[in-house]
Amino acid sequence: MFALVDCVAFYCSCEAVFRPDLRNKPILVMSNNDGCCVTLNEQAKDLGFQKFKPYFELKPLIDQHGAIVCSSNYELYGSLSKKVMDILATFASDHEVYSIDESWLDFTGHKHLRETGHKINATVLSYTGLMTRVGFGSNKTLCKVASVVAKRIKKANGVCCIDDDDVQRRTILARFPVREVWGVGSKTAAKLNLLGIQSALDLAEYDKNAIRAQFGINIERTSRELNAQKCFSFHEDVNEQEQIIVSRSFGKPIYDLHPLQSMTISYLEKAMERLRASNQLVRNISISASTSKFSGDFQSIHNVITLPTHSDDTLLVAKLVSQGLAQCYQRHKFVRSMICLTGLRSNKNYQSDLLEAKQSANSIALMKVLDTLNSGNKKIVFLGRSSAKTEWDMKRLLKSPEYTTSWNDLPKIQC
Amino acid sequence: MYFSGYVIIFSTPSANLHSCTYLLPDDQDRIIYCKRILFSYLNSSYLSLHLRSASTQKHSLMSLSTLYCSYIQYRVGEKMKSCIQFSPKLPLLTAPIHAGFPSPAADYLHDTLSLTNLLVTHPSATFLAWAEGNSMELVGIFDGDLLVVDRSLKPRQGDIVIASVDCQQEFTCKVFDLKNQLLCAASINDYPDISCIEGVLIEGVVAHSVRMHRPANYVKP
Repeated sequence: MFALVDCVAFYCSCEAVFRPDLRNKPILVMSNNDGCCVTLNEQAKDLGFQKFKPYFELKPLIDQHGAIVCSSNYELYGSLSKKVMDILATFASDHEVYSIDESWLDFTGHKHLRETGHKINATVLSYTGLMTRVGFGSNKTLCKVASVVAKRIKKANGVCCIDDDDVQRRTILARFPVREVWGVGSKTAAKLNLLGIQSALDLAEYDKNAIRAQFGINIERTSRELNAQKCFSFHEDVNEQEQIIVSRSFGKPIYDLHPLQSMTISYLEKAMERLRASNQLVRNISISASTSKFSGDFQSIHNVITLPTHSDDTLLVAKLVSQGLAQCYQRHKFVRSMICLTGLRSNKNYQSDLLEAKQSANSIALMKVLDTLNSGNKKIVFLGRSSAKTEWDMKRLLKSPEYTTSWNDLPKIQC
Repeated sequence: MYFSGYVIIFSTPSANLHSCTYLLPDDQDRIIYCKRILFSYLNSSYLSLHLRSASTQKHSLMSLSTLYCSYIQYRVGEKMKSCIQFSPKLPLLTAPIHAGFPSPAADYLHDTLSLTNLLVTHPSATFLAWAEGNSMELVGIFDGDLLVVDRSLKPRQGDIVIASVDCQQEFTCKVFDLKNQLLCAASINDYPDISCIEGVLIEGVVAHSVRMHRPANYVKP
């Protein structure tokens, strides 16, 4: 059996860990630059707040209820997430971190799963002050279903186990909408609905060949998993991303080419760092910059660069990206830019082009030094083209203190 | 250019590109000197690397003397073995140190003692905090002390605990009287006891506290 453990309203709960006065209050956490709401807790949901609404639309409701608004404090969330993941790892024979607030655990051969589930919830709550939910299932897809059920049904007490009991599995799946199944996107769900597939059970029982022909292998696997077959294993596709995207909005609009280049290059540095961390090489880089979607006149520029050969050299790519941006530049009021690395491939067994020069050993060594120096999200060594700290950096005006990662921000305790 | 030896990148604590200087070994003395610094920070296996000097551009060590560094060390000219150690403050001496007989202690070097290992028993359940106020002076907790709070410990009679009282913004630190369910101050001044029956949530046990007799690194006064 596997389990999926996820934290309840993670960002909001993190904000309340060191602030007892915020507990049981409606909390909203804003996106980068405080643009829109990215998470909210149960209390805020009950008051009618909605996710992904821009701040100015939510403002009247916030004032009315005295809701707490926070900028994203990734330093705090990251550090608390690590604590939770470390605790979870001690419970199972294998674990795989799935996202900042979710982790898969492997309980193959374990007994008394429900008790273990309650113990996990109790331990994480007492060690960190964060609430978790545990969903057990014989495969990843069923775990996901179970974890949603554990969250939604009060009687479950934070633990749901879809075990080998076929009747129980079918009862749960029959009430579970197909659009919420793991791996089924909203477009796929709409198409499935047209075929009369409404619940997860409908998908589980649909003809596998027909599913495969229409939706491809992954939805077929999902359908099989809902039937308690095991198709997705642990540590699969962890490093095999198809693209790496770094996209952020600026603290204030940019008009000129030079600052636009420098902000975009700093995003590129981040993207290349992720690329190397996943042991991959890149061939194509697409760059884009755009104006605000909320202003009437939406404008964007973009360009695609193809490298002569696969590479992970930031220096080389930065030079080309700079040129590429200059080529397509038109003066607008830009609020965001994006770097997307595609055409990725593993740097293991990489066969280089016969006619093109391979990335030099020096360049590979230099990148390694760069990554080591900058490890832990520090910006110690960077390109001259990039920006150190500028007026266009992310705005996080309502950010709470970095309670766990900065000496000056540690909580103060009244003695 | 081929040479083998150490490359050390020096930078200031604020560490950005402009303050980075590449110091390349320019004569035997300087290399040995670098080696000495590394000696105290790295484990013994790095000491046995053979050093050959090759002349490269000269840098004045004097100009670096006020800088403190994080450094990176690796061998150049072979397949790179990189090893990084960040030392927050590594003072540079200006006088070259002449090396003679290799240190007989090299083989006996072990990991340095870590305060974290001593003070933090359950890393994933521990948080740090600053003490503020003087109601706990009789148990040796003064204003500005560092508190190491362990959330995994079950509070026992007489433990020093952190609690949230009536959903106030900040936590309170008091001595826990388990038998009478009270939180008590430890001071020559009078502080009222707090009843734990309602509105009080014990958040963790203060396992250790640390006095800063001199200002601590990194902490703004």
